[in-house]
Amino acid sequence: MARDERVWRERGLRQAVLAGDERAWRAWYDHAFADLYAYVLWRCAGLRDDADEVAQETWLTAVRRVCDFDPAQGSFLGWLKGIAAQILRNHWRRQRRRRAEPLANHDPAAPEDTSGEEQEVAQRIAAALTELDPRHEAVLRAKYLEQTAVRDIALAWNESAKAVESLLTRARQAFRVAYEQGSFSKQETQP
Amino acid sequence: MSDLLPDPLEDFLHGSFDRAADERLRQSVLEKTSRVLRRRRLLRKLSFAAALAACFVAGVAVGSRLLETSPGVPAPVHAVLPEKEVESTPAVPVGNEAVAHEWKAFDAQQDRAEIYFEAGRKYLRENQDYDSALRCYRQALDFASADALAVSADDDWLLITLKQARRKDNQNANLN
Repeated sequence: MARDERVWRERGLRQAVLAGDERAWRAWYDHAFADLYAYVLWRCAGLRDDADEVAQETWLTAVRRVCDFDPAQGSFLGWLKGIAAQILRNHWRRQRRRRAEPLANHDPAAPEDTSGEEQEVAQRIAAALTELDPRHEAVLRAKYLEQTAVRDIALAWNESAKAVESLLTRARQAFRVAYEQGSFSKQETQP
Repeated sequence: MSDLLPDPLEDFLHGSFDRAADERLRQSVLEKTSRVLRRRRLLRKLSFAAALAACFVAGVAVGSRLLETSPGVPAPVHAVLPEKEVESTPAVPVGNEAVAHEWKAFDAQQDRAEIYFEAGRKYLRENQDYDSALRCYRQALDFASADALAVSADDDWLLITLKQARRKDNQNANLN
């Protein structure tokens, strides 16, 4: 959809939603729900419970603050992702605080829970994504979640293919560092 | 430096997981957000109704006082006009300036707001016809620019009340 057309369409929908029109809201919701959920699930490294919680909070925030959305600044989906990114930062910050609290009922003799280990790895990955520079996260998402070819990313971002490849390399390195040294890393949580 | 990431990261980047949301989540979030919209719609209706009720009560209160304190005032001329949502057409009792002004506003191509304001003032001061004054003031505010919502020293009590209610309505619409 051409930019002008999108801006006009979303302006109309915004006015209708501000007046309380449920059909307009439903149109927006149906259009954006799947893409937003895919984004949130990626940022939660596949942890569905966390993704469900963040997705719900994102939509509730959006419907309350729709007066702040300006279609000329970007698309509705882009705005939603911005809200989701902020909620994700707060979410993982809370998770980190919970992990730092002593486990009252922890039994060191209990057999290892492997599903717990997988969850812990996923949480570390999600936290690492949150700590990445937004541009690094965006290029990793474009390449690996959206399966966009490097030349298509370059076209969309108005960059050269070489610049995108170089950015991808730096993003992967930053991802490794954030994973190994980040706030959820084993070094931080081991006694 | 090797670009190969530790296994969990490579597994995450190159792996795939089912991205589809649970349909129950989708429906549940839709219902919750729709509820917020319904509350917003109800609040708008209630605030508009409250503003109209306030205008009506104020009009009746002041009107009865005026009638008590003004001996020999002729009975108010109530023009019988069909109700229309957007525009109403005034009836034409002979010699009634307020009605003539309202007709003029109805037919005007320019300065409609001003002429409606004048018609409203005449209905109120000359005829004590509060219903017609309210109608004309509402039309005037619909046609006037945003600046016209500012209260001025020449405004009568009815117009002041309507302007305040309209401004509050606009603020509520912006907040939501």
